[in-house]
Amino acid sequence: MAELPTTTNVRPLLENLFRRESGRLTASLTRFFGSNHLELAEDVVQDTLLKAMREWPFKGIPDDPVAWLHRVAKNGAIDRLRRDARGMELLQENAPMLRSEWTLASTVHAELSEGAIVDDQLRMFFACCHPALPADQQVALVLKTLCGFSVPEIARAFLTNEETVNKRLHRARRAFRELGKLEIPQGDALNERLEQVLSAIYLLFNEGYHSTTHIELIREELIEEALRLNHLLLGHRALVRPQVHALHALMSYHASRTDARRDPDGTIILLRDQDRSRWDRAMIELGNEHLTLASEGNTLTSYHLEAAIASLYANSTSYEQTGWAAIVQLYDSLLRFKPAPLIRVNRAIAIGLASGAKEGLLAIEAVEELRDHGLYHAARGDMLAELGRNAEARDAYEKAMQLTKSEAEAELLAGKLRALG
Amino acid sequence: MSKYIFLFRGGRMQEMSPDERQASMMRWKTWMDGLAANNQLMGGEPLDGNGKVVKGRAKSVTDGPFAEGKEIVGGYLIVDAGSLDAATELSKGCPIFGEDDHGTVEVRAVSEMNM
Repeated sequence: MAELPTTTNVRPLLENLFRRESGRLTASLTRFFGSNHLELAEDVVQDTLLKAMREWPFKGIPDDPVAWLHRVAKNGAIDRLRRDARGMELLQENAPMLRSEWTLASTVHAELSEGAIVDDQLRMFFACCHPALPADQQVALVLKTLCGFSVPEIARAFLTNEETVNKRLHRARRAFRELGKLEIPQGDALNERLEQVLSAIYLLFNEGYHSTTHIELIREELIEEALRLNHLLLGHRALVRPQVHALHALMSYHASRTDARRDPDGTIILLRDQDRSRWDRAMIELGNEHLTLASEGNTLTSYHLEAAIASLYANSTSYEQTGWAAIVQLYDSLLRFKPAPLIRVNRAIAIGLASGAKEGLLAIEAVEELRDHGLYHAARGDMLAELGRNAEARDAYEKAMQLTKSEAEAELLAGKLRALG
Repeated sequence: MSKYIFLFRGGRMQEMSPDERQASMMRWKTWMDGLAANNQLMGGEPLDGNGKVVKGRAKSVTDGPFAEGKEIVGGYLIVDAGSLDAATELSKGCPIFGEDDHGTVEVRAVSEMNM
């Protein structure tokens, strides 16, 4: 009979332990099994967590839960290699060390050593970001395998349905299987892949930061995962490039405002109205440090420019004191990297603050591509309201309200309409 | 003292995400720790999905249990309770009910054998 629980062995468990370890274990097992056996790796991880669910309530949480999970996963891998049809198929493909009963267990233990886990996660991450996979599939696969999200959780994170996520994962897995051995590319290939990897991180971050669902938990976890994944890059000698620092700076500046940009009901609080004492100073300092590190050498990427803009916001003492003219110039440079309409809207808003609403209005109305986008009309409404053209401002806000899909944004616009009187 | 057995069937173990698994594990642990703290928990084991069924005079052995996932007993506990009603009340604290609308706890009194 199992040892029964006693109240003395209740110890706090790290909140995301299962999720975190399932990502780490999946990465290690996939590197060991090869990309064509991703499902086998995922099955071993699932079995491991199931075993923990069954046993821990009875026996108590082990002294070292991480070591327990890793040990059980290794044994699970050995078991699969011996008995599972897919495991046997894998043995056929693999080194003679695995084929002999004498060496199977020791090979598995050596291959899945804890020291390799960071590298394993990076290999897995770079493989998920292979150019054979479109961005939405890359990110879905990263969330599923490396971050331990379930299909419903990914669907919630991307405001889509489970069927779509399943489809993306299915296609992503098919492409992933063809990759073979998981490796971080070298030379020019590394530069290209790093770009894909960074945009996947930034996509994750933006989903967490800008998504306007009410599911706070998922949003915070996406932000946390984006920072964690980028942190893995920062810790690797060959990967810690200036643009990686720049992205870290950018995300740190944004993350410093996570709490200040929502009131307790979840309504968005605009930068202008945020309580700056609620900004997380430590995160801003972290951003400053990484922006300095990003400036070593002469690499200039869009992340550098976005981080520089964010740093001006984060380090200014008030909305009015913000260096709007410098921000306009940085947006001009950024547009040369990424001529995106959304950046032009933000530039127009900065122009409005640097040179007055009249100039801002001209700049915003030049962004014709975004006329069916709520943000365009909301920004235009702000300029018009500032110029005292209230009737036109009202029309613009109403149009923005029709176009937004987010309740939080609609709430914000309703407030602006009320303020017009 | 009277012994009762709780037999658990159902639960959504197979479909959970890692976060949900961890939360579920903690709920079960908290519930069982509570029983233990009241000196009501006398034993129990989780049961693995694998098993065999041996049947009839021929003692034929088949892989099993073949029942649907929901029907399979996922584990048992032995508790000490004053009466069947008291044991039934105790079982209502089981986290399985919050996790699976089809989850069940079968409460059975252990026969007392007079030696």
